[in-house]
Amino acid sequence: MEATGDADFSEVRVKRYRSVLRQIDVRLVKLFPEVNRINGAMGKLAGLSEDLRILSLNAELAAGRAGPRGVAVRALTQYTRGLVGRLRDLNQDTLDFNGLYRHCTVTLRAVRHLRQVETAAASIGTALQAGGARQVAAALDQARSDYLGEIAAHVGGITATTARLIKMVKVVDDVVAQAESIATNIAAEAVTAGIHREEFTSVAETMRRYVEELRRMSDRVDKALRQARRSSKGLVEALATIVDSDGRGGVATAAEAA
Amino acid sequence: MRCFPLFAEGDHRWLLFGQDSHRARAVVDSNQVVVCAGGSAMLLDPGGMEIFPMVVGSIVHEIDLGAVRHLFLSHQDPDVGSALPLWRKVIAPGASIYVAGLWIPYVAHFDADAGFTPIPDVGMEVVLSPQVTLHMLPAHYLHSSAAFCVYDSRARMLFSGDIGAAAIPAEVETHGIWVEDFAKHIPYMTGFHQRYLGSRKARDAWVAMVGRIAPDAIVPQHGLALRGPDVGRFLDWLSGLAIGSGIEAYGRAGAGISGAGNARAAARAGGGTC
Repeated sequence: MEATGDADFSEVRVKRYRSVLRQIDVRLVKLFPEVNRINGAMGKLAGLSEDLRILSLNAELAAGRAGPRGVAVRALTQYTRGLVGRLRDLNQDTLDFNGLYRHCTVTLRAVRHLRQVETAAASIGTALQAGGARQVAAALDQARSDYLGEIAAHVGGITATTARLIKMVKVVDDVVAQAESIATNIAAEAVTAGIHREEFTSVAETMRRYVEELRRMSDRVDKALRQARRSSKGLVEALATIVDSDGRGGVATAAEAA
Repeated sequence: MRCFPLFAEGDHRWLLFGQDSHRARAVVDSNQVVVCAGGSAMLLDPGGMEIFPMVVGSIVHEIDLGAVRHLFLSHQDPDVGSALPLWRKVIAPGASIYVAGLWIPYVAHFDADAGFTPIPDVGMEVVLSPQVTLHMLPAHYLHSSAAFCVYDSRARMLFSGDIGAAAIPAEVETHGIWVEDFAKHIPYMTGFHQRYLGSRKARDAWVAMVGRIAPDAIVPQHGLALRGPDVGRFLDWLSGLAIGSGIEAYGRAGAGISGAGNARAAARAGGGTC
């Protein structure tokens, strides 16, 4: 991002700038626990999808042993493996959490650097009035633009990653709904499975337990993500107040677009 | 932040920026030094992130930051160079940044995009102007395991990093930047040197090296600078100082931990030397 070239280091402007940057700093610091909560909850996804995979294999073996009485259960377990595949794909996406941490960290660092640049800008004011320090003023103005650009890009990254993770939670919710339905169907098949009733009932109950765990995980992540989305929206708004007043509208627009 | 001219001969100048009354209370006071000659400048230990605004605000009154083509870090500590990424935005583009090769991967945590010039163990020279060459001299293990001083043989000034540093309480009024009464200054240096310096061998070697050079002044990164007869007084005092005071902690540590060898181990650690 290019500096505007007409560096304004007036005390009023610097104070306003620093105040907004402090707000962004506080919002970012509040965002970290949400990211931790999301990460902690999503960390269970790999274990739960593995549990479901093993359960579906065992259920398939049981269905094989049941012969004709296990045909429907076998089909249902194969469908379950498809759901496990969807969860595994999501698990790869949890790498996005590292991205979320990185966006938050880089933004926080840039905000803190920018605050120091603003203070430096204020402190060279008297030298500027004396006719000196023009080069430094220009350098600080460029630094200000660079950091604003960096902040905008990474706030955009936070917003985009949060939106991706919200989509991910929707997939988990979908898997939960379908797995619940499969568990109900297996339980229904168990009623007419004769000597295999106990075994199929056990599969259905275990699956319901896993589904319940998945649902709890999804609820926790969803709650934290909504909070994170509110925080990132607040970040964009705070950033926009600086940028709009500076006539550098492209920065906030870029963050919002992202 | 105040500016103290330490040396001036034509355009060859040493300027010290320090005694910052506006710094956060938790932040140690530090001296930032600029050596200028022939339109070029080297910034020695530019300082930490917290004080960057105050240092810039003071320096711009004295020199053109675009002339700063060299930046020197005596060692890896944050008060020495954590503001590096900000400094790189205001000094000459592509300025050389000198730091012990040993510390480059660590200092890169301050600024991964900076290109560093590694200082070899024996030191190196940097030509500031046709008349002024700055010599980077070893100060290893004092306190950092890879540390350097900077000597200006024309000005006969030695920037000594943490050697000669003093922790002067805020309530003590200082008049300028030079030590006025060496005997009264000793208590402010003692604790720092006893605890931060750990190697007698390194201390003795450094004192011998500086004795050979015989600078007119020693300028540390913290506290007051020494000049004239105080240089010799300082070297004598440092030579006789018992250092490595932290080592006695080994003997006292872990006394509450049960274990058959605890008593023997504590006795061994208590008798250690450096």
